[in-house]
Amino acid sequence: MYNTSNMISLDTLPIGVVGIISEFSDKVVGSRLIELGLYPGKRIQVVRKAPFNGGLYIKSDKNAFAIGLTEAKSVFTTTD
Amino acid sequence: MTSKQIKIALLGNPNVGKSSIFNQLTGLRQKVGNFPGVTVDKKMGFCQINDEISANIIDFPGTYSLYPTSSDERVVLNSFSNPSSEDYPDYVIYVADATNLERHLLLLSQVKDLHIPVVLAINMTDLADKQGITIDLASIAQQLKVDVVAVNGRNGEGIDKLHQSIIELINGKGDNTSHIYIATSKEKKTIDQVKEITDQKLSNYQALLWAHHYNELPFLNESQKSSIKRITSENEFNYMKNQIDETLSRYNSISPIVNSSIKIQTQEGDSLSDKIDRIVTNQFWGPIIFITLLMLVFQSIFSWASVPMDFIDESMSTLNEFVKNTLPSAWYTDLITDGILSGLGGVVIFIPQIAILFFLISLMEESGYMARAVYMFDKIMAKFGMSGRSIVSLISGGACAIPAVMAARTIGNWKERMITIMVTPLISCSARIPVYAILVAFAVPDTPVLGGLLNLQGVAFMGLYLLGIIATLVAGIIFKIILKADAPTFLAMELPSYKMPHWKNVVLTVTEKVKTFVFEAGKVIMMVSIVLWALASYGPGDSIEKAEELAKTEALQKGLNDIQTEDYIASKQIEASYVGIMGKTIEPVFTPLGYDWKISIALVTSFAAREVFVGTMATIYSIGSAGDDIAPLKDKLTGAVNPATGVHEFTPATAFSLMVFYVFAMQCMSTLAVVKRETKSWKWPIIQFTYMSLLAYFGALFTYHIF
Ligand SMILES: Nc1nc2c(ncn2[C@@H]2O[C@H](COP(=O)(O)OP(=O)(O)OP(=O)(O)O)[C@@H](O)[C@H]2O)c(=O)[nH]1
Ligand SMILES: [Mg+2]
Repeated sequence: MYNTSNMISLDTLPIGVVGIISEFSDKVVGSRLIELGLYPGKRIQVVRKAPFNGGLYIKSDKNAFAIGLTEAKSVFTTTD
Repeated sequence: MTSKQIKIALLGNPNVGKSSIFNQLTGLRQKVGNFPGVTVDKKMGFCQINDEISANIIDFPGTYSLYPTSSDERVVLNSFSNPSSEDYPDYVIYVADATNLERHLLLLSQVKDLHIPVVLAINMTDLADKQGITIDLASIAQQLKVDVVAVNGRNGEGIDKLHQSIIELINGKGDNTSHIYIATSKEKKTIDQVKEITDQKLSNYQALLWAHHYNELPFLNESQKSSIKRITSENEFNYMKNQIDETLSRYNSISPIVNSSIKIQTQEGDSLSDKIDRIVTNQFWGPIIFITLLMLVFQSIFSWASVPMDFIDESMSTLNEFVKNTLPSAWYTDLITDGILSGLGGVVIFIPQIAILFFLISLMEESGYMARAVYMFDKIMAKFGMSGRSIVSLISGGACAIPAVMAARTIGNWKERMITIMVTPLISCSARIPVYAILVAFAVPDTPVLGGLLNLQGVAFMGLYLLGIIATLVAGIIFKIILKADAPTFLAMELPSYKMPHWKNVVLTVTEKVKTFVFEAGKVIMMVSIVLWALASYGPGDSIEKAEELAKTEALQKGLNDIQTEDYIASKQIEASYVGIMGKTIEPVFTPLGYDWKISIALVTSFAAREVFVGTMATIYSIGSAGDDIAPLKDKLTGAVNPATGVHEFTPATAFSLMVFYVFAMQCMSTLAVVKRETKSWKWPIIQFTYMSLLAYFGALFTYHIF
């Protein structure tokens, strides 16, 4: 269903580029993100990075989220 | 009049306005308890629904689903999956955010499957209007088979309709039989088998939750747990996969309902929150703004609070004076003034700091700013076992550990909260300043350094503060290693849109914090201060009277004037009291640190509060009447020579050793009382007292020997 060839982890998604969530490699983080409404198929965008190498500021629909850098490594997205 | 008492739960995702609606429903008829076995706040309130029906309303902590990842969320699961729990509700008011319905209906779909009658309150309708979102309530109600009410948690709009819906629920309207999630056949088998191991009547979804969480459900006994373990492994129950599949399947049912019921006039461009965040969470400006705000918080509890605190101080001593002059001079007058009233003063004095800190904190929480602070600082604080929110506690700790420890309440993760509470008192608070001041003035020369930019005494002061900060962070790392986590720590959270703080919620938070401090921690503080008073005023037999007689004759011989005589008597009395005896008894323990019995006495009395050290030393050195002026005490200490040996009693090495001792020692009964109240057990304050005392002892020992 998704094109896996261009799948990249969220921490490597360039700022401002819209990605589509495709899968999670960490189940705990994955289930929390799903509960937050960030489930596979949702469009998501990295807006900025936190100071001191901290987490990512994410937007999806009109909502904003904070995701830690390690946590972001376990989220995979595709870009079109 | 027949009256019926029912239990209603307020449930919903974090930050949807549950507490605001709770405040609308109950007003000031609220009290705070805690859920069984955990330190999570349970806010309960009373609401008269109509003439016949009164309701006990419980404001549950916000949770995203019935698959918990923190102790806050676990509370919800424990109460909702156990029909015999004391918190199991008869009815649920489910609060959802109108601006983000899809995600908020996930937990609702789970609650519906529990078959507890529920009404859906769609909150933040004002924000939805602004964003051009229109919601077809009837369509949602019909498709989800629930009663739907639009409300506004801020101005109370729709609350009367909510009352009406609750009455209808009670009258049996509402559907409690349908299932939103259809279990797979394997799950169905598990459900049927789990239902058999209990006499309770479980809904299917409750049985499924037992299968998922049996290991962490405190109400199951060991044999039930092992039965479920057997059942799940027989049915090849795959926890993570089942959970994710269930959640996605729920979205599959919810999404079409939401899409067919709401209309969004899409707005172009960035929202106000986006614009604010561009600056406030900026890599460079974000931390600067946050630190500036925290400095403001610090400044306000450190110096602005001193105005009301001085007023309380003066009023208490006026009252004290008045009682002393009105009542006959007898032991019970002393008990009232020096025991009870000064204990009461010791409680009331903290109210301004607590009120101001929580006023500012609730502004930060209410506005949505606190979530940004967590986003920016979580990474750094995680290194020390704490959360981004902990910074507020640590900075506040620089003024006073008491409100700072209370502020740790909002840290969701148990381990992070515990570490914050355990290490915050290592930050040098304002009560240490008078102690540092006298010791630094004594031991450090007033010479300029760095070409007059600073002086050596200032450098010493800074060194003491720095030592406290380093100890705080190191202790954090150590506790991070020792303490077992009850839930994984990870950062994945929503950044809510900014909102104007609502005054009613702010006022209620402040009142609640002050109330719990005064009535819960206050009891312990009163008791300890009465005991300390008794120990300092009484001695075995007539030792105090004898000491007074002897002191009077000696004073006559030395030709002291009236004030000197009084000071001299006070010094001999405290020496003869139980505290004096305790000081002399523990002296050998402190000799290696360079302390004699006089300092040991001051260590005992300053357990009440660190600043008492200065007053006690002054009393012992017969200059009790000098009040707050430290110069006479400094001179006394410089001149004090042991009559037997002829060496100085108080050397710079002793002073440095004492400084380090006070940086580390848990010399504050009020903080211990608050830690007891916040952790709901004596275990944590005892651990804290022990580790800080050991740190203080060995730190001071080391210091004494290098100087
Ligand atoms: N604009 C608007 N703001 C609201 C409304 N209801 C609540 N708020 C605000 O939303 C924020 C969160 O409200 P709370 O009542 O603390 O939410 P909660 O669900 O109790 O949050 P947690 O207990 O943290 O899960 C506060 O700033 C409220 O003032 C509403 O109807 N409209
Ligand atoms: Mg709340």
